[in-house]
Amino acid sequence: MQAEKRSGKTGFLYKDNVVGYIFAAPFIISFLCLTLIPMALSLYYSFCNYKIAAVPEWIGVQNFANLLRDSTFGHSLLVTIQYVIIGVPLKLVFALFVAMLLTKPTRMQGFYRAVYYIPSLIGGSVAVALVWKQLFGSRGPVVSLIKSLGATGFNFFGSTTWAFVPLVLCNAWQFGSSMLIFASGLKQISKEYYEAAEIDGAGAVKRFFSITLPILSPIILFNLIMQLISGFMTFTQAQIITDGGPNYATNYIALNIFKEGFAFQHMGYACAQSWVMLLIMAAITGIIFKTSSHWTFYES
Amino acid sequence: MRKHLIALLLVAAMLCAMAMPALAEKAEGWNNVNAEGYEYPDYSGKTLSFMWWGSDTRARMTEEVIHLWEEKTGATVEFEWYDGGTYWTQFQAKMAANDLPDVFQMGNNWLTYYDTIEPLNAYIEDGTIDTTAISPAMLATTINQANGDVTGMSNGTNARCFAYNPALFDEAGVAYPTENWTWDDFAAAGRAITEATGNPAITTLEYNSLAFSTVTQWKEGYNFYAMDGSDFAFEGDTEPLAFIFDLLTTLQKEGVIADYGIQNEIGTNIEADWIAFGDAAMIMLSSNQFQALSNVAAESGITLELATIPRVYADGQSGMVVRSSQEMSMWKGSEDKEMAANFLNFFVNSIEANEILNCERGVSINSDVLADLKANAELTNEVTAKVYTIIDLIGSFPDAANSSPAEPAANEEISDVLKKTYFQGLAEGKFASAQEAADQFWAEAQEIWAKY
Repeated sequence: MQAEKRSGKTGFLYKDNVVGYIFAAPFIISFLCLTLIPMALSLYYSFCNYKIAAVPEWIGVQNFANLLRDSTFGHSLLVTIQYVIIGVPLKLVFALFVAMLLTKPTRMQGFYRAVYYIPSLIGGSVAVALVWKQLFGSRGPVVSLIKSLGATGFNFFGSTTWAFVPLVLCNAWQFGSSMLIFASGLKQISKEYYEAAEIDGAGAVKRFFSITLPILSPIILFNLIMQLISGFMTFTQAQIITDGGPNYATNYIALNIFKEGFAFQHMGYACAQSWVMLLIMAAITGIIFKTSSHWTFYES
Repeated sequence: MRKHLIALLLVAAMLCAMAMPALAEKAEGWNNVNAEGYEYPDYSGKTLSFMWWGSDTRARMTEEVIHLWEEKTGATVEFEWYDGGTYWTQFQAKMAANDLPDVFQMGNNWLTYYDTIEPLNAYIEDGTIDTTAISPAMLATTINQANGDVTGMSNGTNARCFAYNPALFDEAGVAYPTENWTWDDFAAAGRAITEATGNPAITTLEYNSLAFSTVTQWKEGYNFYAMDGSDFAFEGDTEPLAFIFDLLTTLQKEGVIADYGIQNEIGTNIEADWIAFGDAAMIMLSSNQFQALSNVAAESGITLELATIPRVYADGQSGMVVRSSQEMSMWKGSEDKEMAANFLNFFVNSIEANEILNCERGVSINSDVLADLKANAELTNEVTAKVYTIIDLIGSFPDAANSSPAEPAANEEISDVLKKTYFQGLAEGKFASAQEAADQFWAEAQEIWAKY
């Protein structure tokens, strides 16, 4: 009797759909609360004159019109693109290089992979940014080395030309996740290709460009897109290390948006910037996808 | 029936208890924590949250005071603190989440965060925050002149000034700053010291406030912002701005002033400033930071001194001002405002607490506290005496009252572009001349103002 009653009340729990929804609930709820609703709100705010904790006032496309005339925003776009164009290929080349080194089967392979992955684990943390600030700072070891070579008065973060270099290097240093994906891709490449190529007399360089790269190209595409997106969103290092300076040399878009929204209290304007940034990222990703059929190669 | 009666009686008793404090005529100064036999309210089981910015030195002292209050009232204080830069990031995030602490430190930029602040007028009128030992002039340093709201209790007064290392002045053979030294003296001293030491003589400058005080120094009656923060006082004579743009940029190009990278590295962390390690000779600071700075410098055997901000004319305006260094404000959304008011009362007025704090946040506005500290030879050491002296000196300048307690909401953005677009742009050669930079700055400042 008791068992029957229980199954009567809780019976719906045993339906497949319900189970599915329950297991997906944590994601669905967080996606709604932390992604979808905030995105919808920010789209609305981008058409408003809005200050945090105040009532938004609808102003149409005024924010977007102002963006066109905003030289600071334009400059931010420019330096962000510069950062991405230099930073992303550097990171990918480095990740592929290390991944290839680590495909040689040795007893320590697992250990090395773990070690190279650590920088990515601690990711965009403030602590890492502070360490790089010290490392490349006016009295850090890198600047001391450069000065000992005769460049008196040199200082990365004091120069609009050089300030971005440590930021790009810091980003490239966190190559772990790309490296792991490359490594697993490299493992998939059949040894037979290499053996056949070797018999035909192909050298290491030829083998790399004619076998490894083409077969790896879908994975390169994936890594490229992921890194492009994270490159466009770079924030922590610029905020902690350079505060966007000097003279806006490292004032990346994400940092600019943060300043507008929180420091200057123009949240509506900041939301408009975010949406423009999203459109630009979507356009670039779209172009890469469109052209990818010309340079990616699928074995099957 | 009997149940009803009991319930009624209970309600009546409760109402009486609530009305009691209102009925009993409270004597002035009833909440004076320094009074003999003062009984602290019992807040057992209650929690107060509190947030501030500052140095390690400040954190140690503040925590000690927090524990003292916890002991006396039984409350628990949840506290967090950050350096001056990070603080505002945290503050803004908490503000966006509508989850600020009950009590928070606030700067003279309170107009920017006005919506988050509970005016303290009611607590001052009913005496919960005891102001019997605080002069109206001191109280006024945190009052919104436009509507009379008390935005917080000042933690003390300070003034922007310079700290210098006399040993490096001696090494370079230049005279120490006098109370009316000029920008020419400043440049000459800086150049001589840099030549002697090979290091930048000056590491930290507050560019925006130097630009604004140069305007005040230029001519009697000149000011950048209006007294009540409601508008510019500046009328477009950009000559003083061009003057300071040119001077500071030239000195930086010569290596006398540290480049922007170094200044940014030091940031708001005064204890990391090169002057504390004997490598720089002069920095600009707020007088209350002198204690923390001197503590670190003392570890390297360095004794620092305080000086005024250089002037345009030795016999002209000082461009300096004694202001509230920072205040303790109450969050509008606080759930226990009475407790928060009592905490503020304790923090600002208690002699016991302020013997620990020892004017590190600014020269106390409570005359009883200040008298006690000054009489205490152990607390008023060489370092604090220097701070008292410079505050007295600046307070004696005729134009020192000539500045607004409020920084207009647009000031944050105007100051940001002043530094990054104009000072740093001029250094990068983006303007044909300092005069051109000054003119463009004034045009942009007006545009920014229109947005707020």
